[in-house]
Amino acid sequence: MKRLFCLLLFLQGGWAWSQVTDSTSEEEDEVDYGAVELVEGKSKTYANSRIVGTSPQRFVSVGWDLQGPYDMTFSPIASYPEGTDIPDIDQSTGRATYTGGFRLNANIPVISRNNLVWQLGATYWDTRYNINNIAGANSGSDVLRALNDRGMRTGGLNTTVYKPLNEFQFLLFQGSVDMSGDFGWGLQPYVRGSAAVLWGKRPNERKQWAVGLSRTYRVGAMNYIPIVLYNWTAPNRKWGIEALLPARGAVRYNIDRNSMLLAGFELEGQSYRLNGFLSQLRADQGSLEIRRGEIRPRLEYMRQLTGYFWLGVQAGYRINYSFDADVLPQGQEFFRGFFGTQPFAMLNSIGNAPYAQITINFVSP
Amino acid sequence: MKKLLALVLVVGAMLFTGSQSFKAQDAEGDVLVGVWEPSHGKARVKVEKIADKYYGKIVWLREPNDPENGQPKVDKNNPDESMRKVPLKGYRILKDFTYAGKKEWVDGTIYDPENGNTYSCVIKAKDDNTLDIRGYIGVKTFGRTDVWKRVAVKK
Amino acid sequence: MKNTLALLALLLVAVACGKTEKVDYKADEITLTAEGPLYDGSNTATASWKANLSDILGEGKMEGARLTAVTITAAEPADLALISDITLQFAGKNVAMQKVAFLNPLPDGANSVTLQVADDQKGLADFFALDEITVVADLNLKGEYEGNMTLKAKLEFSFDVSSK
Repeated sequence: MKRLFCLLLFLQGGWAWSQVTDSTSEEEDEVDYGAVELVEGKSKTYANSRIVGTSPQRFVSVGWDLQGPYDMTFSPIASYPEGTDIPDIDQSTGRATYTGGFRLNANIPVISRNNLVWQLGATYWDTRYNINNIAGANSGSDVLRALNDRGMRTGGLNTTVYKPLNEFQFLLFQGSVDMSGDFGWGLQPYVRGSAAVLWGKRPNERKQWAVGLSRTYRVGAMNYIPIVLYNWTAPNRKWGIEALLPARGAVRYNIDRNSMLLAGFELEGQSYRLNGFLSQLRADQGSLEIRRGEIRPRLEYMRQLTGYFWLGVQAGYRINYSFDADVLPQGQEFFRGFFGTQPFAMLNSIGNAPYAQITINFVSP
Repeated sequence: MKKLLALVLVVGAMLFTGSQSFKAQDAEGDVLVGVWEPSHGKARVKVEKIADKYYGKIVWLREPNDPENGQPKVDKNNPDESMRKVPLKGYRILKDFTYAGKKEWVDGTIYDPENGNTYSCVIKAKDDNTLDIRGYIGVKTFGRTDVWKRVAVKK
Repeated sequence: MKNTLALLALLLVAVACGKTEKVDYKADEITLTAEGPLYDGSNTATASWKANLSDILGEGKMEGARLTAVTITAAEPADLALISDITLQFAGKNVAMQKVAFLNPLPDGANSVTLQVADDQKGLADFFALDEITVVADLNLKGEYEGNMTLKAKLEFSFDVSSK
């Protein structure tokens, strides 16, 4: 019996021994960790996609945008070379007492490695109008009523690819397709595409810049413009610049680890297709597109709520750049750029107004 | 008595083979042990096994001293203020990894001294000398993979 | 004997009232070993420790635990002079490693050092539910050291014990 017990104990002991043998009992033959060599292959260091101190990258953002009241003046739908003077009697007017709505932005990494970052994103912005005192009895006032009844929405999908070439250089590509207009649950016939390509450098962990070209709707109409990315953080990490010109730019002040203040501007815009206006237009079924573009100088306060959830509060002024409209035959886009002379279908103007926006954001560490 | 002995031998054999497969499992998991360099080259991390789990500590920093005061770098971004003077040299940044088979180590965390954040982490060995280390928050989607390469001391 | 009586009295009161009581516990000395040869730089000393808590807990259940003090001495007092800093951690099966105390730098010429205890010690009670706790001391050495280095740690805790 004793022998049996001893045998079992021996075997048990053997098993336990194999459990606690660990590598800390190996020879410590590493002496100087400064003098090492890679066991195999070459190690490549790649430029990180971000620099220190910037405002957090938002994975998901939900919020509400609200504008103060302003006047709207719309022309009838016809054909106007730019700068045409439209007699007051033809204009339709209204006062927008409420302009606002829900905004959702998402940007999710699909691949996130040290040598490639690929993100897919979606946006959905809904703007509703309350337009009172609509005066006029022509297509201009019809459009005002359409905005009042249905508002405008933009939904889109986008993708961003960040590819570092080496420790200091990188390429950036962004592309998106957007569907904008007063659509309801159904899809609308036309989508608009935008894209940007940049090449840049990240000389150190506090500075990053890039230059490139983009096709954009930011000021309402479709344009090809050069763009510049510039991100910088001061050595004391209290100040910084975050800019993607001309789309947006800001000066940043880091109050502490969990809150910051940004002062800057952003250009917003899209080309919105309004339904229900085909019968008023030419026989070629043109689509009426409002080329909405606005400049928003603003102050933004960002603060960590808990964990990776941050609050963003913006207050600023919405300056109207364009609310003119074009008729696009079969929805086919055309390029006017800054110098084209193609006539507009509507020459509209809206007053400027203060605005505020509040967002809750799920951010990246 | 003979029957008893037979029983002992059978049980013993089972225990022994059990421990053998444990050993094989251990050996595979131990591929993680050694000194590794992240892609940014700013540090080297030594991974060792303590009580069945794998832990990694910083053993070398390219810039060992804080440029602001010339002193060896410490954990100044730790969310716990009382721990901000712990030296970064020897700091355990990889913790609690268990080998899950198929060259993957899971259930661990990785700490980033640059911002004091701790992330969930999984490690995959692409080969015996290359690791894919993925730190993430919540789900693996919200994370980033870095490639670490094994280094050996020059003799 | 007095201490035990006091503790028992405390427990009786706890049982009677059914509340959570704070119980102080001084652990027996733990011996940590760093297997040599050791080199300039980061090294590690470990120990497997089982706390004998049956006296302390009795019928009660540990709701919370806090390390309140740590004193480290070296088996060879001169060894302490070779250590520039110590970081102390607990590790265990199914529990995340927890950093509990450190000292940086070690004062000159000391024969025993008291470590600074962490403010944030969440989940320490989980370690005491394990069969054994692995105590890990990471040391930075100022030079080489032949053979094994042995350290002795005296740990003091404060437990929140609830009685059913």
